[in-house]
Amino acid sequence: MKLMPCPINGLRNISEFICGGEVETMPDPSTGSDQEWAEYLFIENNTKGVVREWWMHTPTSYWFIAERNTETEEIIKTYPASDIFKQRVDFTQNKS
Amino acid sequence: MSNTSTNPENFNCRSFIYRKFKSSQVIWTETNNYGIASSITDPTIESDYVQQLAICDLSYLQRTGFKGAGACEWLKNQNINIPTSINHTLSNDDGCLIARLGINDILIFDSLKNQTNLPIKLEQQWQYDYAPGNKPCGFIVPRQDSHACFSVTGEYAPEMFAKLCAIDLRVKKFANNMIAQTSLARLSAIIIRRDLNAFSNYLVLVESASAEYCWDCLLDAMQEFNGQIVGTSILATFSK
Amino acid sequence: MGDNFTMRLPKPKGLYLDRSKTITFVFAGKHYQGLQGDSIASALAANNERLLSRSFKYHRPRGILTMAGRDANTLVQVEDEPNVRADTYAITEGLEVFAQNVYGSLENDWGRFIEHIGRFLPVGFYYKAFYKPKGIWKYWDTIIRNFAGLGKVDVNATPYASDKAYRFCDVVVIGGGPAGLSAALQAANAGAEVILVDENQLLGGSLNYVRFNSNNSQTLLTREKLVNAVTNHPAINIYTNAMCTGWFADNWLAIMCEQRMLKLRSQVVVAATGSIEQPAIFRNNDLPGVMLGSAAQRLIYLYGVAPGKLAVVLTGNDDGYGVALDLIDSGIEVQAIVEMRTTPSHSSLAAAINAKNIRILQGYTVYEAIPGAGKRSITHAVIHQISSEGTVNENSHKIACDLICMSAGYTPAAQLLCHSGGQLKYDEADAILKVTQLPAHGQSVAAGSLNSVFEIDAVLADGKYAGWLAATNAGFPNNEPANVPHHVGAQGQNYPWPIFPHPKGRDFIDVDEDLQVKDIVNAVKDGYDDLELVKRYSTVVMGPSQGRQSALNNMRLVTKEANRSLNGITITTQRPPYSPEFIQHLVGKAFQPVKHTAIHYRHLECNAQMMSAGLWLRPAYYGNPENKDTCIEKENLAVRNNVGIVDVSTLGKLEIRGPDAAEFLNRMYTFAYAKQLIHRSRYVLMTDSTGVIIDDGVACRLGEHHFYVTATTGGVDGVYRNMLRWNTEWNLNLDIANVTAAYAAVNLAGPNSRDVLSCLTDDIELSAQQFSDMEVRTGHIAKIPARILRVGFVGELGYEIHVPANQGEALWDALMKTGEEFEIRPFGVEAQRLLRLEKGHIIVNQDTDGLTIPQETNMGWAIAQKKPFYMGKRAIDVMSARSLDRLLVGFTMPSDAPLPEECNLVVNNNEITGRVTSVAYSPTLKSIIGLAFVSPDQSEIGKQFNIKLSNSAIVKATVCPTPFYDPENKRQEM
Repeated sequence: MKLMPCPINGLRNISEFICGGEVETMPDPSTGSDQEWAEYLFIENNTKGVVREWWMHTPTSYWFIAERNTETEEIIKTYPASDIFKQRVDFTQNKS
Repeated sequence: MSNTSTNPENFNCRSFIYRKFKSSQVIWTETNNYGIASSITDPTIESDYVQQLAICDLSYLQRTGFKGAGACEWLKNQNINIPTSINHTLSNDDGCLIARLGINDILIFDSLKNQTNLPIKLEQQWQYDYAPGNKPCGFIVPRQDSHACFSVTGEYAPEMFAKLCAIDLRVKKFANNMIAQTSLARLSAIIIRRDLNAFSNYLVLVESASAEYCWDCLLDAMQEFNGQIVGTSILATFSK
Repeated sequence: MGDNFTMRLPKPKGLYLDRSKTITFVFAGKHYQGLQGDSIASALAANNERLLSRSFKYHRPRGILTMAGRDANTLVQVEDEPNVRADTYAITEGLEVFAQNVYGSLENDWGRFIEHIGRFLPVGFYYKAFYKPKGIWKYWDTIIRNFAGLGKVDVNATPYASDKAYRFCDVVVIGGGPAGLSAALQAANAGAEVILVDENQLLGGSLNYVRFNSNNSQTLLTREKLVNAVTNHPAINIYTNAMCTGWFADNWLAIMCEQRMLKLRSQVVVAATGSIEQPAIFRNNDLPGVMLGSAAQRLIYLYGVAPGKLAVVLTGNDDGYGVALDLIDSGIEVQAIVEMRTTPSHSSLAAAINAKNIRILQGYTVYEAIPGAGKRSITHAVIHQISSEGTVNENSHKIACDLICMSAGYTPAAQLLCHSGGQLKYDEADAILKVTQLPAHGQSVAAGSLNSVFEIDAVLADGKYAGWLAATNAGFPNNEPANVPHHVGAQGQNYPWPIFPHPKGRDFIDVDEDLQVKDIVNAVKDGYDDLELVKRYSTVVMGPSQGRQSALNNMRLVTKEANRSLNGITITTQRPPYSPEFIQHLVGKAFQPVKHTAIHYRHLECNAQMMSAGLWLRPAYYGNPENKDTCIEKENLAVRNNVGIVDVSTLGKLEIRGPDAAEFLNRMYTFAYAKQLIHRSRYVLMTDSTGVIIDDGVACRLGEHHFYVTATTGGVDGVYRNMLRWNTEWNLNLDIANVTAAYAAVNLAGPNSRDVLSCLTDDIELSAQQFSDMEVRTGHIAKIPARILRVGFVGELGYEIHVPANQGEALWDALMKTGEEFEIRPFGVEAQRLLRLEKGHIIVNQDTDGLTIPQETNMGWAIAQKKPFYMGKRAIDVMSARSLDRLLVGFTMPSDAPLPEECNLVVNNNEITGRVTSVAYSPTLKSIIGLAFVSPDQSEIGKQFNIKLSNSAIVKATVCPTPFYDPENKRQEM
């Protein structure tokens, strides 16, 4: 059983966590092309090497970010999502 | 107030597991509109049990939660001591227990010994008055009903927990006043070490819907160490 | 029956024995006596009984090989437990032991005839013989399965309760031999909390049975000192009779104790698992009487049993001389030492042998063992001079003996190490596999003979060094032990080629699987020239001992046959478990959480038949199963005509609070919430980012910044996670709380529900004008604080009442008591589903699937087109522009038509165009009603389509508008 360091709860068995997939930037839903949007939804990079992923500690429902090497299975670091998501996100109406 | 004929069904508030106390020796009393099993057997025997290994249903114990932006600030303004780090507890001056579960997630228990009604008072004081420029003050979370609360007491508690929980809860590794939010018998649980006098005591909070499952798992794991069920008054006796 | 106890040796031999206690047990139908501490095999050996089992394929007689629980020769059945290792399993009074894999008796097994047709069973013969012609395997299958498999499982055996337990330490040491003991001591002295695991009953490992010096007393002294220090150390926790069976990621180890499995997490692992002695290959090397040198020593030292009377020691290293000395000390006549090496040994052990004038045949090997009667023993060793690697010349001797001890070298017991990423490579210079890579990213150390260190002082120093390193890496800095003494390493431990094929065969490479040299040679000739391929083709190293005695020689043979260099070759993949495990120990308590609503026991008291809904238990209906349909019908009619009550506590419940609450709902759900009025509820439909429906419920606006949102029972956890995840990214100003367990809820429904409720509240105005459909109120019901929602899921006047969970039962009690005079009836999930079907409401995940978008279910009305964003908007916009492939429609069928089942297919000619998602007989409408996906051209109201029933019959259904019942919603708006 692998261990995952939760930024709040410390080292825990990986069974206490769920993976929320890679951190991806959503294309602007009103201006992005269909192609861009389809890739965002359906194309997984399946990177061999270091990936940045969403993980959640289930008992506390706490989402954070983990950087993980998919080749060596090494968890490089974990940190609060607020480290990278600092701004409020708003959506605006499609002008067209 | 003690009354052996008190029936827990006479009260609107009921622990999810009140049916587990069947012995004719159980003494039921009323607290917070709950009928509670305040003693199961002779106090001297119960006193031995809590030092070895015992479990007690504290679901009646008054508690509340405050969560969200501004929760800690608001509580501080109500003279509540807030633990500086997450997953730690503090005692308020009146014996109430303040547990910090997250950056802005506080769980407050009334004192086991003297009922102060602090949790209810705080709920009544809290008021949401949003206006631009106002300081946020968090939100109430209904911890009284969302979670069942058990107390597991005694020397063998850590070894018993080692059958249900992957966190090292031994006294030398899991200090008094620490909190583990983890998985217990595959349930999400909040485990708080809160010693009673000289012996170790752990508060276990699990979703109320799973109270019976959790109680049964704990009892089963306790069997190996001859763990026993005790009433609530023996714990009050030992608590500070 | 052998001569009783003739082979027992006097004290101090027999470390495990309590000679004061005699134990009687039964083996293969005969009674034997042994001593307390004996294993089955040692007690039998004390009685001079050598035959333990019959081999897997040829049913050849087999006896002691390793005495360490590492071979398949000793597999027996003990009462209801198959595949017990007789060489380590302790006897108890009255124990009944049976032979396995035997037809008739162990001594005269008629299965042994198979050996005579052995030449018709070539390597890979399953693949060659039984798969042609096509389909023939079915015939052979039964016959082969009767022959295959070992032991009998008693299906009536009573299981015992076993639970698992977690353990934690700074340093775990696997193996309690000299290296492990000194490592544990060093690490514990440095301040680390240490767990020491050993599979044997006594600590000491090789110190207990190996003769490191000609004078053995030094070894025993070392052992006593170390074991005492370790046993008395307060920071060392010792687990004996405990087998570490797996080493997983981040130093997570499975430890099998006698009664339970331990799951151990350690910061650092010291692997001191030792090494496994390897056999030599010659004709009849598998028969009882041929054993490893270490097996003979274990018998002598641990069990106080002489392994034979007249011995030949075959050796390729110095350890064979130690074995010979131990045999001599035990009164066994050593006929000769057959030394495969050409140059004489200069060790002190060899010198001691020379001093005793024992014959040493230098450069010779045992070429064949001559069997005794029934091959149940051996009578002679035929020895030949070695002419070159693996071949012999005519110079030979025939030496009488009943025991051949083999000391040909070792292979590291590195299985655990390899589970977790460790690597082994063959070092041709030392003819040994060496650990070349350790697992666990530096958080592991190997020590002792596993680490190719064999000389005793070097082993002790190596252990000490490992203990230092482990403690340091675990965060306990301590002084590095003074210079680790230079050691000779593995040089001279392994004889490089102890494989001497015999023209007449029976030169076994793998005794588990009865594989001889020619089988491996032929496998390579058949083209399987890679170790992993040979393994799968021939089953070599796949037997119960998992290659412990065969992997090394097999590797040598295959590589040579394939004309490749041995240097740097690695073994086949090692996987957990290292040793067999009880499934029961693995299962443990199998924790299976169950959720009860606050009203659970009231349902049981009303004779509810409970059903699972995720982890929850919910009443399906109330009454006896034989009257199920009638019960559901009565519950249905009670709601339609009077008043019913259903426990809906399992509904997901979320508090969304804060200035951005409405904006957040706008993003998470398809509908519009910004202008929703306070004290009103609105339908919520959640789609994922691909536009697929994933959840629904209602959102109650309790304040400008406060929504109380329900979600489906099964969906709420995912919805909550999703909401948290997105707001972590969006940083909107709000708080999300999952309060599912904090509220009990019931739905009081039916034309008389208002009358019931009005008896129980004095602070909520219930009239239709004051509290209309889709409105929400807070107040008290029976003095219990409550949130009351007027919702129409079942299509009647109804109140969904949410109260604190601890007061849920009291609420139910009050409603049931007050409802008594109205003949209130509790209804279950079955009736609720029927009632909502009559109203045409969908159930997410029943009437939708993993591809359903709102348009397909006619729920375009639930989508706010003008919002800039909601989850799934872009995908839905794209798909809305396309034509739909299917539509969810209502259908009816006459009441006397056969009732379709959910998931029956909708067909058009021979094409599948959809399926039935919900269907039932409606007692209110007196016809069969349902929902089904159909193709758009079948969806027109009034059109008929075909449903293919489970029995393949085709029935006709007619598309009709929904709701089926009260299409104008008059009933729920009463």
